[in-house]
Amino acid sequence: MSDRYVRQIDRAAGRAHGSMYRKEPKIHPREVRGRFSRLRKLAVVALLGLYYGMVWLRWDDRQAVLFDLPARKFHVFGLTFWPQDFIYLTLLLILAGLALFFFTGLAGRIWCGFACPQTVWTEAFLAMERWVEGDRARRIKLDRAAWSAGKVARKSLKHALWIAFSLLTGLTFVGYFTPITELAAKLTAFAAGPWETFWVGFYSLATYGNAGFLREQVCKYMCPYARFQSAMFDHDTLVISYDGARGEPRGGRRRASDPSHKGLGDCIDCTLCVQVCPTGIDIRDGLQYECIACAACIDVCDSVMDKMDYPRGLIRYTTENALAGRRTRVVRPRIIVYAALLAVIGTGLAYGIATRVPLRMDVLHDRNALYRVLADGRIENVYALKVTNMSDQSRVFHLEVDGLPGVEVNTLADFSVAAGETLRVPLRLRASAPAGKPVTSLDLRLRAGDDAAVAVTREARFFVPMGTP
Amino acid sequence: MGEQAHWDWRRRSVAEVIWPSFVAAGVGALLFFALIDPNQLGPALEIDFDGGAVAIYSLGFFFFWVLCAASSLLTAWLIRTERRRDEFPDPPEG
Repeated sequence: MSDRYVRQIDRAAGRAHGSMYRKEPKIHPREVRGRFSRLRKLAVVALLGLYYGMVWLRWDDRQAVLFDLPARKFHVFGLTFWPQDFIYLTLLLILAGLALFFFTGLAGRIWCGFACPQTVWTEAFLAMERWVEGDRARRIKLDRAAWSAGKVARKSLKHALWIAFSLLTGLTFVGYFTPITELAAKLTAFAAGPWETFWVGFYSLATYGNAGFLREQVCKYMCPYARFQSAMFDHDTLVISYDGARGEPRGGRRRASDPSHKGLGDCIDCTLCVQVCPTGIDIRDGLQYECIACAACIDVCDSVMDKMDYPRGLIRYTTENALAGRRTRVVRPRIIVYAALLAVIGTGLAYGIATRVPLRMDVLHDRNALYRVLADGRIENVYALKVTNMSDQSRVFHLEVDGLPGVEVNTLADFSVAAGETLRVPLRLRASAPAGKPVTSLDLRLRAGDDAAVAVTREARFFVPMGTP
Repeated sequence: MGEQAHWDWRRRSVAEVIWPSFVAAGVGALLFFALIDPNQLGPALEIDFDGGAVAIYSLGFFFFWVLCAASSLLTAWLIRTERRRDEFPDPPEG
């Protein structure tokens, strides 16, 4: 099938559905005040504060959180991680994934509405937009208006604010990988390295594009979680839902009139729930995958219900079971399984980090010869030890050999390894052959001179010729 | 917002190619550089490169991104050029 033919088909399909070539209209969410919007603002301030603030914290004489890629060391407060500690990162990612499953099963898409970076930065960008361009009605009017000096001024100011905020975001991001005080100084003097400058620009552009322009479209078209989160839902998961039984039939009415007289439900069809929605959906059409569970519609509907003197909760957090008049169960098998896995892996990770020894030793037996028979009849085995000092200070190490009586240990006496360095240490063991055993397992114990807790034990094998008496 | 418009297929293709490959490239670069030290990559490959570790990390990431994007592009193209049975049904049998 030729390309041209396919394009024709695509165009035909576009005409048939009437939507393939239409541009996504810009959504102007109305500002909302209420319980959940306060909670979200709190989350936005806390999370952004953490992101922009943590990079400036100091620990001893270095940045507290620094992923030093060139030196291949990850500093997290008092801890330093190495590529050899990759297992902890893996566990952390598994933990994060499980936590997402757990909270989704329990409370639906609270991640999307309150903690997702896409939501958090969009919220910050919207706040700037609102501050410069005014509320929803003004913004719509401004977008429709012809270009004038005033419109240019407002739009320029908005974009200037967005760009400044994006640049700060990009600088902060790169600051987690390159010490931020040096980076900021170098950038302001236009003396930063080409790649650092590039990544600041790249991340700034991504922030500007995602939070300024793409917004809810990221959730609709690009987010995998939005597509598969429903697999973690069941009838007891918290969802935001419109109570159709109570609201319908919807319709406008005077404030004082009794809706039952007109045969109406509680929904006054003010469409505010649609106007506040950042993804532009109508929650009254039922649960939709575009809904990021930000609860803006709950807040605004509650405020309308208050004005009408109706009870709150026409749109509310509820469960499918509750809507159907059944009991909602919070503790259920999938929640227990997720929680148990979280507890096990979380405990394991914490235990692993708490008991982690910043020392690593690999024992390599000589590849060329398993053993050598010495002139005096004793047997010699040769090894290479790779000793990595994973602590932040230079250390002296001492080696002991266990499990082979009368062994002569021939190696570097107390050797010193600088912080973060790996030293290759030759080891020669000489002993009389143990009777009747071609292979003897022995323990090599390496310990730091200044701290007995910093010690590792590795097993090594001592080979002797077959048939040695 | 009665009308529910959607991205046209061009924009969708761009998003579907660039974004998943970006994520996959991030994972790929993470795994690759967890095992390989860029400071020792030059000597190991016997090439004379003195651009610094950050340059190697960055180029490595872009290498993965281009590779993964090529895969996504091919996938997207195969799906887009598939014959649409709902639009042009097979002729009736017999």
